[in-house]
Amino acid sequence: MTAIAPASASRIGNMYYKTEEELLYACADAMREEYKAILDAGLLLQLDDPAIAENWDQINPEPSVEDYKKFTMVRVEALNHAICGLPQDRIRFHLCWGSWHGPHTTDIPMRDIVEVMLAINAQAYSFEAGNVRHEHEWKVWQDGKLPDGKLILPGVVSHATNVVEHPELVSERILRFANLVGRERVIASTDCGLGGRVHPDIAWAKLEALAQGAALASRQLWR
Amino acid sequence: MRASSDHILTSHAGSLPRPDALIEANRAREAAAVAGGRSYDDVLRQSVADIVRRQRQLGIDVPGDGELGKATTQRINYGPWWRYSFLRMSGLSPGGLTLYELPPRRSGPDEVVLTSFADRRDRTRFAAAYADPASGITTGPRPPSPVCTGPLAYTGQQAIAADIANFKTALAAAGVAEGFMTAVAPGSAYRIPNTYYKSDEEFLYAWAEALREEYRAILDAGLVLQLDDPAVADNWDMVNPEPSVEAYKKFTMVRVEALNHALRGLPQDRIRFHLCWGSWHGPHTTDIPMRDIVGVMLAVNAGAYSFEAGNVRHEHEWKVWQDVKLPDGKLILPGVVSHATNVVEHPELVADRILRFANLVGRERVIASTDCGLGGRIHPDIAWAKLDTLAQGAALASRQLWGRKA
Repeated sequence: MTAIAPASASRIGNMYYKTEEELLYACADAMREEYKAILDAGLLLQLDDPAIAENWDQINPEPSVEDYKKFTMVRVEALNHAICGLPQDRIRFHLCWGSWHGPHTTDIPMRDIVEVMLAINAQAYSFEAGNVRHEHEWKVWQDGKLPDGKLILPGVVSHATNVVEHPELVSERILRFANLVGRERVIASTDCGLGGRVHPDIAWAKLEALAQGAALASRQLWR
Repeated sequence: MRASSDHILTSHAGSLPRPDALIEANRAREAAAVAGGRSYDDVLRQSVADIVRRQRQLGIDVPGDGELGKATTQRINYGPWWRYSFLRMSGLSPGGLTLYELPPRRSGPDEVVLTSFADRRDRTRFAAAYADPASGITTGPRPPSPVCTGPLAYTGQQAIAADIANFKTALAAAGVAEGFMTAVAPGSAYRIPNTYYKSDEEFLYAWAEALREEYRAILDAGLVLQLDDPAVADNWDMVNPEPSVEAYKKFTMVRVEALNHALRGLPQDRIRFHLCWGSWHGPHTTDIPMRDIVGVMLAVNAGAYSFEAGNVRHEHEWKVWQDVKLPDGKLILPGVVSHATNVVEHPELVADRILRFANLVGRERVIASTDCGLGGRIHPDIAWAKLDTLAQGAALASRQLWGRKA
């Protein structure tokens, strides 16, 4: 079950808290209650936190990567505060660059923020890899940075096009990740939520292509 | 035709965004008025000059005229690439029905026939999505289709002469050696109602004979001719129920032979062929696999083949070239950026895609291109950003393929 992360939730007007950081931590403390409820019920918790990546496009003019990472680490620490002591092995984190159908030419490269993402105390990381701005970034994992015991959920189908991914393409995408981080550590996923972003019938067709592609990849990986 | 002798050349599939002034001039022409005191011809000439210069500035090695002479009065319009031919042909009468309103036709195991646009299989499967204006699946205006009621003859001599003159002037002004101009292939053009010719095949060959005159004019002018023929691939979705691959190939070879008849004796080394599965923003789940029709495509007597490879339904099909031998001396123009998403392809993805093809068929035989025309299908500013990323990605790939000097 998804729940919003403090950094993404706190991007609203504020006349009460004295600092942005105070608001951020207030969000963290408040949201912790929802996180606990989901985890106490035995479900997996997915933390939705596009702010980690998409804030980059919301800073004008473009900052230095170092400044942005520092700015973003404050948000990661607030999230880690919110999930402190909760069962990490049932927490997954969702990163994205914003799911609107724009050109996305100002998305920060995955390479520049992958370490910030991995600093989040989750067991699994979900991120966009199935659209044309981020598809090439599977190569980030060539450098072997995924810590032991962690999983990834790359997006292998996307809301970014009405065209339904061919199952063979889905399989190809999965194999690229599996060959780098190990087949046991890849869960095939979507770039972002499909609801509200593509027509319902196309959304369901994409989940079908996802399952078919994962079956093709599995046949290759466990044959 | 230029090959990628020392770097990956860039080109595109044809249609580019029409400048607003040209769309206005087309509207004024339709209303028999004059746009802002300038004649349609003047606006068109200036627009072609501008669009060639812009392609040159972005690093497109083999530019086109953007199909600007193929008129449209709408920004969103997927149809000018073939509808222009209706204005350059005698024997056609105005019809009352759009291609969507024609009665559906059912195919049998031994008889492949094309059904109506409304009865296409992907459209039927995703009827709700196609019917939903918010889904993004639009194809622009749907004018009634003309009907063939008399002998076909090419009447576009003046129009094609103007297109050629505008384009050659623009190429010379931009200092570009080679440019391409599109023309519709008979198999794609003839998909309209016919009450004059006795058989489907007779009608097809009448189109071939008539269009040959346009092909010759483009080639005689020293330009590269691109034949637009989505019908070779997209007819598959227009046969309901789905035929056998063998029956479809036989059906399609008739169209390829008609095209080859139209091309007889013309210089193959300046002819390129464009295959696609239809450029509308639909799910495309009923597209025929490239593997099943690549042999039919290669039977077209062209020197180069342009095809979609930059969208999620066809991206994986680069692997077809692991098994299929590209005949000696021929080139491919895979689509490495696409109209199918607003997201602008990352240059590194463009390079990855180019490298896959270059590693299989050889770097000299790949020209980086677009899936389909960009004009009328995505916002103009996004279209230009896609040509920009195409050129950047090709430069990255060239550096890898020729070393740092390229």
